Amino acid sequence: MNVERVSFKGNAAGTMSGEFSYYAKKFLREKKFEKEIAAEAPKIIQFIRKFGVLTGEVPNILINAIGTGLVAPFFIKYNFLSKSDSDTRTYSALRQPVSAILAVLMQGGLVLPFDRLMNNMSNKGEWDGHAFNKTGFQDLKYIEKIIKKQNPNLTKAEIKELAKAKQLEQLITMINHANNNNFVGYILDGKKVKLSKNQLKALMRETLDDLSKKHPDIAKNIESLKHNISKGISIKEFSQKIGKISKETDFAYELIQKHIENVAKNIKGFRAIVGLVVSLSILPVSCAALNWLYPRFMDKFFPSLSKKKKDNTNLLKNIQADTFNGKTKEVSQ
Amino acid sequence: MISVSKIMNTTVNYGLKKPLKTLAKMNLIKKVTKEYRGNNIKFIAGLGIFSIILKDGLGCYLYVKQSLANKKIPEDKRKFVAALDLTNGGLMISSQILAFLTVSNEKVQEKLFGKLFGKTFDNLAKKFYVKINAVKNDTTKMTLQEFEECFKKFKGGTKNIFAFLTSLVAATILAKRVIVPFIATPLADKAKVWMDKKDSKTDKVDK
Repeated sequence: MNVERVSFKGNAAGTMSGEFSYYAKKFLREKKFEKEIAAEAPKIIQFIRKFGVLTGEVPNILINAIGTGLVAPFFIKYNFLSKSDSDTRTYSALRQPVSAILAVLMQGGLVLPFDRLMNNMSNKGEWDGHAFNKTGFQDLKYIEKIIKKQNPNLTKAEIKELAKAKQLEQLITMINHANNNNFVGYILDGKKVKLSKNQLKALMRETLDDLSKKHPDIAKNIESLKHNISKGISIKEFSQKIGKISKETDFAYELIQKHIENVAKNIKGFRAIVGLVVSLSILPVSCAALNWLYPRFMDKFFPSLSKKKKDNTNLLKNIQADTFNGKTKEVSQ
Repeated sequence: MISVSKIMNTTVNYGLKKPLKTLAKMNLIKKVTKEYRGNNIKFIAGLGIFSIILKDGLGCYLYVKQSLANKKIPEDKRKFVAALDLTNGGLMISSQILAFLTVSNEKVQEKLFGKLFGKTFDNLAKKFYVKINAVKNDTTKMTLQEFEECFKKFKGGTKNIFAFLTSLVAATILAKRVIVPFIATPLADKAKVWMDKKDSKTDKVDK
């Protein structure tokens, strides 16, 4: 890993004083207020928001597993419409938690390392182009990891503080690049990775749309500026125009925030597809594993149920009952 | 000598990173990321359900295949068992699509979220308005504009997570694990009667 990738370098250092404190304050205030609101929100809201961290395929696997492992057994066991006997229903019901655990272990066990690999590639800037690269504004955890590697004697609290400062520097570097060089992207190993002219125009439009939503009172004025985008007006000039409408609004700051948000959303979408492909490819293996494991599991922990099941002469009836009660099957041994 | 880490790195590079980079350039990914950037909740929740449906579809196929090859099932009944698997799989998929079309619907979500959390968010906002109005000329505190911006972001984010969660829960827990088993039972009974009739006709012909 290369520590330079989290270092503050380039022309931004020269413009630190005034602009740095302005943007730093703005960014830190926003973060602080977001935390303040979240802290005051009722527990149910805080609970729901915890799921926001789970992105991609993992929540699908988890919720599906909850349904299979915790809900399905109950409805199989107590299905009053089922004509099969109680032991057969129990036998079928118990298969669900085993199936759910296998799904979480096998699908989750494969999807999570993929997520981690993709995230690392994003922070290191290994993707082609800008869409999935976080090099300009890396994850706090990634920065912490690098600082820890380079400075093993630092305490956890020191690493955290340093990482926050580095991330802030990265943000301000990006804003300065936007303002001074009309450049949205980052420089990696001397190579510029930036948005094309058309991509920059699209980002400007999206930023204006967001600003209109944020400030409905001046939305019309903001909208009236849109035609300047096609004229190829620079970010700095745009910032000045927006500044005349609303003094508190900084266009370059909003533009970079939007870009960072876009990259995060791109990664989310990409991870959803990769997770789906990975889960699908492991499915035949987890199905086969269930068929192998379940009879052995029942023989070991529920021998009486297992024996009754084997002894049952009316095999079809059992298979039917299993099938009626959800996605369960007669298991071959 | 070639080190283990070098072999690992080469494997990861060629086995994982290169295919991922190729995938990243595909039009499908461009389309999906565009929808994610635009915060198209219908699409995002739909993709979640689609993912589960695809897995159920493949699972159903594997179960049907297993049934047809399962020597423990009498040969003449194998097709029947496989048909039941297919019915079950079909029901699961259609019920999840139905759940997606209803629960994930933007208007339904708007109403649901409003009913469940509308007052909660109103009270939260009121609490902050009082706080902000009480403390004036303190530059370290939130201004009304700052609060409104942060609050909108906070509420919008919560709404999106709620929509995603409820869609998944409705499809994978309610539809798939509660409703389907109940519908599948009487349907399977009918299939059994039909199969028995078919079998008895075949027996008569054989005699």
